Amino acid sequence: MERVLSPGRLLPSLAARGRVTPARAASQRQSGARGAAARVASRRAASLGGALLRVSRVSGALVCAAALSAGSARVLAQSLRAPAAPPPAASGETAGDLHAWLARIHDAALRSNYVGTIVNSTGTSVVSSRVGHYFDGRSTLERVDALDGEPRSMLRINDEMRTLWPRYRVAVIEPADPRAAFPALVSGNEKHIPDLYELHLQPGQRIAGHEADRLLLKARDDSRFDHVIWADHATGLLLRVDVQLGGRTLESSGFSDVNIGVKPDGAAIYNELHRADGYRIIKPAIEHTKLDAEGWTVQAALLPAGFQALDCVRRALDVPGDTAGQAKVLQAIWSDGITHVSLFIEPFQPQRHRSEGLTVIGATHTLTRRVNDMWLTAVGDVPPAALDQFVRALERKS
Amino acid sequence: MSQPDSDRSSSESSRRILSALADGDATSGEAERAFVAWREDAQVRATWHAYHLIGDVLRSDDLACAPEANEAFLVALRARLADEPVVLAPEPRAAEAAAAQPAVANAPAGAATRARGRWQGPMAMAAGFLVVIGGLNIVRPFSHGGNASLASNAGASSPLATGANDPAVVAAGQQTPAQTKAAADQLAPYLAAHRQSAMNAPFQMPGSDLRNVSLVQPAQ
Repeated sequence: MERVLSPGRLLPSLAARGRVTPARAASQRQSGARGAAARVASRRAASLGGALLRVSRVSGALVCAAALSAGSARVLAQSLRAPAAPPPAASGETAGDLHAWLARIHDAALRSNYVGTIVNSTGTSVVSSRVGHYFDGRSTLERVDALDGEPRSMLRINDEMRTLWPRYRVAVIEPADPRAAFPALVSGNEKHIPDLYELHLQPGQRIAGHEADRLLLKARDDSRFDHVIWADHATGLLLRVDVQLGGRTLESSGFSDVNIGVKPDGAAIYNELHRADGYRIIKPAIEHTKLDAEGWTVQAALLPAGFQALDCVRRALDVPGDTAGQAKVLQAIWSDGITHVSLFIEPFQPQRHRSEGLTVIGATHTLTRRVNDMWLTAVGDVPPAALDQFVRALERKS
Repeated sequence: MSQPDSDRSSSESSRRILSALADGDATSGEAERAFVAWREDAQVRATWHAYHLIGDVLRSDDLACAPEANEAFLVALRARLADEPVVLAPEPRAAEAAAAQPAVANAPAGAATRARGRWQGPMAMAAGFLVVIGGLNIVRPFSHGGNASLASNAGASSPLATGANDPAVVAAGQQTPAQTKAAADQLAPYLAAHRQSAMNAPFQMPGSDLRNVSLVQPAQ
């Protein structure tokens, strides 16, 4: 696989794939040490068994962390008489349970092997995509093909993502920031999730041919939406997510069919990669910075509760339309552990920044506003009032 | 005797013209005459209605209806049209309207109505097209129609814009479908950047970051 990977300038940063940052390993260990999460780890260890212990160079640290937590989990499991199969069936809606669920779902998302079709519905539109996700013990490989509209595929090899546009013979490569890949775990604000969302275990349901556990994460205030989550009972794989407000579904994403536990098919991804040999490569430049260093401050007291700064980047956005070109923007990102909000800051351009106001796509709200000579765009799966708070909290440093 | 004969022949000929008009065969001169006759002669209107009723019934019995139904429909349609706000064009100032139409200056209310009336036709039509365009965008969410025109507007050095935007955009406030679509196109890169910023967020289904991406290919 290494041989296949290395040739060609198409794969420049793949050498760094699977690099496990200490932060991530630490967070893994940290979450593993918690009793509830440890139960998850023990289940995982039981199911993956020896496969996990086939320690590889790349994900060694990760696997070590998992094995470590699995070890402590067994001890804990004996003393706590933890249930053998999936998580607490009773409505023990404690913070520990919530963390256990989060860890279980997160883990299944990374390590499952599955192929399926995901349908996203926003009430007025339905789009679907074909998804293949493989974990071969070292690398996480993912391929998503959009089934509607302009043909495009997204290939992900660990942290690196590329979007292929076959008709235009263009590959857009975005080196994902490991920090961005695990917002909740890295920012450390997963501890606060139970303060922001209330976990309700609801009667299980059958989703895409699988028995699923159903969880309701009810927002404790009106700065965020409720999330209804269906996770595969056997593996913990996320099968469907509904974003709701007052019981009304704003957006729903879920599998219409999925095969879980398929054989990892790396060729499906690498072949597609090589089909893209000779494509023109576009690498959007992303530069990490701080709001502070860019001359901005945020009045923390004005922000919606529970949102913590996650990152701040300078990037160029490709703007379509008759004013097409690149817009250099500053993007600040906050997360409450479950959802995140981006605030884009750029100089006001009258010819381009024409519509101030709110645009709603499913659960995703976008608020645009001119503030003096700047143009602000706040985006997130949160109510408009919360976006407004972000926009108002931003201040130019004097 | 000659008078009724001439009447008969004139009404015969007007019927012939009406019939031709109903079939879409009338010449422009004939159509002109038929319109005048339709406006001034109740008998012609009744005949016109009868022709259409005959055509309708020939197609389906269900289409048979009393003339009053059509009348009511037309009256209601006119009332609704008169109530339609004119959004896109300003109303002429009263003075200008009066100056433009001195003949009806002694009937200011009528003038105002008529001035508005002049806009209503084209505006209603324009609104109709906007709705159709919006409808197309929704039925064919990822079609290139809209974007192709954007690209051609921007000229030879223009980027090639391919929208793959989620069409299900509901804009708050008073955006027309076209404005909403334009707003969604403008927002697409922001949404894509936003989604990519938390790829493995706990409850994000795979591929959600592929949903709003669009390709803007810079000129080489």
